[in-house]
Amino acid sequence: MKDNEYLNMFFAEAKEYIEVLNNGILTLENNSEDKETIDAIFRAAHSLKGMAAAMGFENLTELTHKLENSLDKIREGKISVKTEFIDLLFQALDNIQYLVKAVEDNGGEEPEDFDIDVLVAELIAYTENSPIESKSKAQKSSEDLEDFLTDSEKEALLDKKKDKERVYQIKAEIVEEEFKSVRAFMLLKKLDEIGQLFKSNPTKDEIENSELDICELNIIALSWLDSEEFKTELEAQQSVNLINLEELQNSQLEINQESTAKKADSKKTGVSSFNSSSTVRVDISKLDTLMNMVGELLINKSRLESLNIKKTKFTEIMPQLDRVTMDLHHIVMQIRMVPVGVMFSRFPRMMRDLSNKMNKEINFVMTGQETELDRSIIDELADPLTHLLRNAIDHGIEKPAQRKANGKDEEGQIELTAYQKGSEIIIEVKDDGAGIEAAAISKKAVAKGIVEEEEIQQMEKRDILDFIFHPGFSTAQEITDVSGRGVGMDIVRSTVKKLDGQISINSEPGKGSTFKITLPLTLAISQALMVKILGDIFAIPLNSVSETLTIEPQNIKKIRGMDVIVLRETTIPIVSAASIFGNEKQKTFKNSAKDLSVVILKSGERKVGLVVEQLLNQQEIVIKSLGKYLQDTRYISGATIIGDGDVALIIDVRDVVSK
Amino acid sequence: MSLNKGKSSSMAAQDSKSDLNQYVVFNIDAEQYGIKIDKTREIIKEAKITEVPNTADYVVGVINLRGIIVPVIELSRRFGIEEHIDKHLFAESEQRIITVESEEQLLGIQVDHIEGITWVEEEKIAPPPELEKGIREDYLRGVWARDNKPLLILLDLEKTLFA
Repeated sequence: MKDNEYLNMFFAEAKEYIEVLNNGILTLENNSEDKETIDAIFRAAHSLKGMAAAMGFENLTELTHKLENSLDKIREGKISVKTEFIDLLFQALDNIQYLVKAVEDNGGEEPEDFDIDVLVAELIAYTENSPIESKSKAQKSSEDLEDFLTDSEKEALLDKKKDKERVYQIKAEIVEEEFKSVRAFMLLKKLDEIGQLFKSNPTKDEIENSELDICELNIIALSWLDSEEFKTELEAQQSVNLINLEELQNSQLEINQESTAKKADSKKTGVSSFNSSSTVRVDISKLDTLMNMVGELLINKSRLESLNIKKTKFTEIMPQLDRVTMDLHHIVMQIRMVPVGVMFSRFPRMMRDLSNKMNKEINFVMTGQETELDRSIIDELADPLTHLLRNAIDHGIEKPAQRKANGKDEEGQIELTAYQKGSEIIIEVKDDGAGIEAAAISKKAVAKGIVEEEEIQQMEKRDILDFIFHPGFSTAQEITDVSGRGVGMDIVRSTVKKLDGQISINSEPGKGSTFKITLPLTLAISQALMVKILGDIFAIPLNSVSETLTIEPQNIKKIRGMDVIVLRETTIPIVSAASIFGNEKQKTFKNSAKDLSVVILKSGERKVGLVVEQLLNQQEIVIKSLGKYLQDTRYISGATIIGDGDVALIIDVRDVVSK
Repeated sequence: MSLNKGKSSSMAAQDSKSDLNQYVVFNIDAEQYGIKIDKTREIIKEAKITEVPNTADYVVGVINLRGIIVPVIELSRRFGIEEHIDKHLFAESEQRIITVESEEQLLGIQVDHIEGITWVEEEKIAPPPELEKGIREDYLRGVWARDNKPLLILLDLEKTLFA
C-alpha cells in the first residue's frame, strides 16, 4: 500500500495529464504541425512519466516513457504524424488510462497480469525504424522562416533578389563565456562589410544595449558574394561558431497562404498550455461541507431576522451580518463553479471513435466550454450528455450515402453548446440528421400502451416527442452497441430532473434534432416563494414562478373538463394545491366564496396556475435533499428549513406542470 | 471482523464460541423488537414531524435533525399492521424516534417505548415462527425466546426499510 495522500494526488494529476494527452493527440490528428500542441502533450507525457516513476509503477512508467519518446520524435520532426501513428498513440494512451484506473481500483498496486510488451514493441518499432519521412532541410528551415520573417519582409527580400542580390540565412552560436555581446556585435558588423544585414534576432540594438548573454543568433543577410565566398568570409570571423548557412530560394520566400491560415487555426484548436497559476487543489467533499455550513449560517441568519428585535444594536448588526453571509455564500458558490469544458473535453475523442466505428462522417463542434456550472451538476451531467451524443451519431446522423441522396453534406454536423441565460445554464445537443417523426413516435407510444389513440389525436407535437423520455418507450430491439448499454432516454431525463433541470426536444424530420437541457446555475441555495397549503408552508423555486395573482372564482372557465383561466389571451390550466398535496378532491373553484390566490408556474414553455391557500413571503432557501428514501415523491423535489427550524417542502414545479 | 485480526488466536476461538451482539430493544404496542446497535445513531425525544404528501402510508413525515432532513417511518404500518391494538399501553410521552443509518441514508423509526439495550447470543436466535401478525418473513432475522420476558423479534433493518 502506498501513502494515500500521495496516491490521491497522483490520480487527480494523472487524470488531468491523460486528458491533455487525449485532446492533444486529437488536435494533432487534424493539424500535425501544431507546435504548441506537440509541446503541451510532450510535457504532459513527461510529467506523467515522472509521477509514475516516483510512485514506483513500473508498467506505467515504461509505457509513458515510450509514449514520451514517440512524442519527442514528433517534436523533433523525425516522425511524420500519420493516422496509423495517431491510432497507436491513442492505443498507448488507452492502456495508460486503464493502468491508472486499475491502480486506483487495486488500492495502489499495479495489476500483475497486464502485458504492455506488445504495445511497447510497436511504439519502438514505429519510432525507430518506421516510415520516417524526415523533412528535407529546406522544408524545415522554411518553417523556421515562417516564424522569423513577416510577409512584408519576405516581399522586400524578393525584391532584393530581383536585383541579383543573394539572401542568406545564418545561424550561429557563441560558445565562449566572455564578451558574448561583443562577439555577436562583431559578427553583425562583419556582415555589413561583406553585404548587408537585413534582420537579426537578437537585433543590433538589443545586442548593444542589453547585458543579457547571447548564445544563439538567427540572421538574414544580403550579399553579392556567392555562398562559398560568403561562408569563407564568415568562417574567418573567429568570434562565433557557424551552425548553419543557407542561401534562400525564391520559393522559400514566397508567402505561404496555406501555412498562415493553418497557423491562425492552430491557435484556436490547440491545447492551451499549462498555465501555472496560484491555485490550490481541494477535496470536493470539503467544499460540500463548507457549502452546508454556509447554508446553516444562512438559515440561522434568517431565524435571527425573524426575531425582529427592536433594539438599535440589533438593527445595526443585522445588515452587516446579512452582507457578510451573502458575500460568503457568493464566494463559496464561485469556488464550486467549474467550466463545463472539463467535462466536454472527453467528448471529441469519443465522437471520433464512434464515428469511425459507425462509418459516419461527423464534424463535432463544441462551443461555450468556458460556461461555468456547479461542480456537483457537472459530475452528474456527463452520463446523460454521453447518451445524447451517442444517440445523435447512432440514430441522428445518416450514413454518408444516405445524406448525399437527401441532398445534404456527406459530413454530418453535431454541435454541443453551453451558454448561460439569466440564472439558468442551457446545454444543447444538436444534430443535422434525420430528425424524429412525430407520427412514428405516436404510433409506437400507442402500441406500447403508454397513451390512448384518442388522447394522442389532441396532443401537440411537443408533447408527442416527449414520449421518447417515457420509461418503457425504448425497446430492446433498438439496443445497439453504440447507444444501447441499458441507459435510456428516461434515465437521461430523470438525471436531469434530479439536478432540478429540464430537458426538451425539438425535431424537424429530415433536418435534425435538438435536445435542450436547462439547469439552474447552482443547486444548493436559491430564491423561493413561500406559500401556505392546507396549513403547511411550502416553497416554490422563484425561477419557476412566472407571476402571482388573485382571481375571482367566476373568472375560471371550463375547457374539456379542465379548469382554466385566460391571462393576456393565453389559456392556462389551473389546479388546486390542496388536491395534489392533500387528499382533498379537486374543488369546484366556482363555488368558492372568496378570491383565489394563484401562482403561475412555468416549466419550459408550459404554464400552470396553482391555487394556494395563502401567498407568504419571498426568501432565500437552502435546498436539501429528501434522501433516496423519498426522492421519487410526486410533486416534491426536496425540503428546506425555515426560520423557526421547521421543515418546508419544496414543490417540484416540473412535475406539477406536466401533471 | 478484521478489527480483531491483530489479536491473539486464543481470542478468536472465544469469539466464535459466543458471538455476542448488542441490540436496542423497543416496543411497538405489546410487541418487543430488537435492532442491532451498530445500525443505530441516536434516540430523539421530541421533534416536529412535517408530513410529506404523496408518500407511502408508513412514512410519517420528515424531521429536521440539526439541519439534515430525516424521513420518519412507522414500523407497524410498514409491517402492514393497520391499527395499534392497544393504543394506550404506553403514554405518548414515551414515544421516541430511533435514527438508523442504512444504505447511506439516515432514517428515523418511530417507536412507542424504548426498553433498553440487551446482549443477544447469535446462536440462540431461532428462526421466526409462523408469521408474526403478517410481518413479511424476510424482514426478520429471527426471534429470541427469553425467560420471563416477551419474545424478542429481531429485525433485519435493511430489508425492513428498503425491501
